[in-house]
Amino acid sequence: MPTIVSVDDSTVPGEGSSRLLLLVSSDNKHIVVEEDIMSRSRFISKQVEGFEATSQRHAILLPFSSFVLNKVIEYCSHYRGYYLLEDDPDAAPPGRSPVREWDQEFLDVDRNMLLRIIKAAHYLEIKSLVGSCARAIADMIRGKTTEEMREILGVENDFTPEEEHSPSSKCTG
Amino acid sequence: MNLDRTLRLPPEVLAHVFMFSARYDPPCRISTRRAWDRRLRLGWIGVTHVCSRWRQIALAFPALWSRVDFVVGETWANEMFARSKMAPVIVSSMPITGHEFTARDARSISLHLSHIRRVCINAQCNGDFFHWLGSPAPMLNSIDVVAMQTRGYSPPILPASMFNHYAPHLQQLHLEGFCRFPWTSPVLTNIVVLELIDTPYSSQNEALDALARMLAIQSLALCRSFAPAARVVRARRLGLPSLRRLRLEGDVVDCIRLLKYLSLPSMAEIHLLCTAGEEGRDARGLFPVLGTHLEQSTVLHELTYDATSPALQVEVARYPPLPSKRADVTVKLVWDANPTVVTSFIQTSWYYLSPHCVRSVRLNIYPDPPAKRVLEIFGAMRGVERLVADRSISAVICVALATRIDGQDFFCPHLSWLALHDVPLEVLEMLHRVLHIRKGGGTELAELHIYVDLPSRKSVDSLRRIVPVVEWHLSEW
Repeated sequence: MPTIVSVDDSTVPGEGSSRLLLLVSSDNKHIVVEEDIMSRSRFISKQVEGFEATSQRHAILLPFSSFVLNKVIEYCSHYRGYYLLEDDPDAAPPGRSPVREWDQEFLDVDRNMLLRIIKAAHYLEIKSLVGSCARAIADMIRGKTTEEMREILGVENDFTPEEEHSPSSKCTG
Repeated sequence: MNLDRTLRLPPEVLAHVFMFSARYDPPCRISTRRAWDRRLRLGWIGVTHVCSRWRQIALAFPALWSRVDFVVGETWANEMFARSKMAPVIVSSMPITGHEFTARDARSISLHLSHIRRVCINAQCNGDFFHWLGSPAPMLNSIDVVAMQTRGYSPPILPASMFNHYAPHLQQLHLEGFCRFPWTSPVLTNIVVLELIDTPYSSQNEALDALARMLAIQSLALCRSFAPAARVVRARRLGLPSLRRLRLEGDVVDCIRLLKYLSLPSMAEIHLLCTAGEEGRDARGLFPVLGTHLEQSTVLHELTYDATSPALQVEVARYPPLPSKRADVTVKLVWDANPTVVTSFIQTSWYYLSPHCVRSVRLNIYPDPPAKRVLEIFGAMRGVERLVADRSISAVICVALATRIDGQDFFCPHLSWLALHDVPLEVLEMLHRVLHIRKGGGTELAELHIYVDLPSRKSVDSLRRIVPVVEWHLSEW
């Protein structure tokens, strides 16, 4: 669960059609964003529903840096108002999202950043962004040998030598 | 470069990555110089060799193993079936992958029919090869089987008791190369798409009775898949309320025999690809039947008439309907080795179709037909407003344009748009003279498009002397 702190209404103007949210990143940066933009995040939507139930507005503390949070906001701003199939779990099973040119450019970042974005998207429950990142990672390891995959994603080989050479334990059939 | 532990992906996210890998990097056989020596490349399954965590995650998500392609071999296929647990599975086997579908593979499928969603097999098989379809298939949605004919073997038979009469979600069925289609099977009731290719059956009445039970059927294609001539004549037509697309391909007599018992919804598309004897008499019986459907606003989307070996094809392609409900249709004559058949067919088709749709024609007749025959064809096209013609008949068209009988234009009196392709220069000169004649009387062409192959840029000047054109569109040589 995220940490929620009470905020003064004057800090977060919440009237009218473009109500604002205050997001606080792990490096303690305060970012104000329109509620509409973040409505793609099921996590944020649930928080907002909570605000409405208690008639209190809060800042939402998030466990990732402002740099990552700004990337996520950039994504949500770009697709503001768009219906994305992947956000509807009934309409689109995972693995069927189309490649979007903009997403490819947006995710043209280094490995660590990509992993941070997908973790943030997963935390915020933005399915379309999780899907796009997952696809980008799958593309990185596609056609690669086991050793290359370990190298690319920084994974340590923890198989024992016996497991390494035993066909049955490594599912080689 | 080991990863910071904070960046380790949660299992469900990693599984999401693997789902993409499984989709876009499936196992396959690598071709080598020797066709029989195709090494297996594991593709995405390689992720299970990276580390124990990745392996555990991959094994914990049955959906990852839900595409079983027998290209990976029997052992792997069975392993994937086991790992998919009860997740819905898609099974495929294509000979192009170098693996031949065997009776053992068929038995593997029969053991897992309870959670197979789709079967896609292209295999050499014969006789009772498909008796493995004997157990219930509660999740099965689609079957696509092409039975490749093996020399010396009989075509496979689909048993009437398939799936032990239980496949409630079966909606799509595409079968090719089977012997006797089991129309009486109750698993066909919920079919939405049915395509039978080279799969004959014994009784048309049986087929019509079965179709009457398929209230949800939207697309029906029967390609060389008909019963022998029916002895029992049905008294009433069969309504297919949900049908959107009907495709019949085969002997024109078979197509007529089925078509006349069907009653189609108003927006259903008809695709007919008929073959017939040389005289074209059989084809004429098609039009009264077709006309009945067209009167009910059914859309004729495609009509190909192939008089086989003197071959003739007429393609009718539909364009968006005009406000007056007349579709703008193009007829394309592709091949003519028997101009008598062309003329007969055109005359008959015009008689029945022109009130409904025919406005424009494209002629591409090869080899060059005798001019007399071409003129007969033109005589059958008097209602046409737009004509596109290719090289072989451009000279004849010039003659026809110049011909008047009893003060009337001989050639397509309503013609206002003409395009001639690959016109030789000498014909062009003749055309120029013809247009002078037409200016003296008769209908003016609103547009004339001439496509000429010029040997060099210099020849443009000589062309200018022949025809003063309003607009030039020159392509590169």
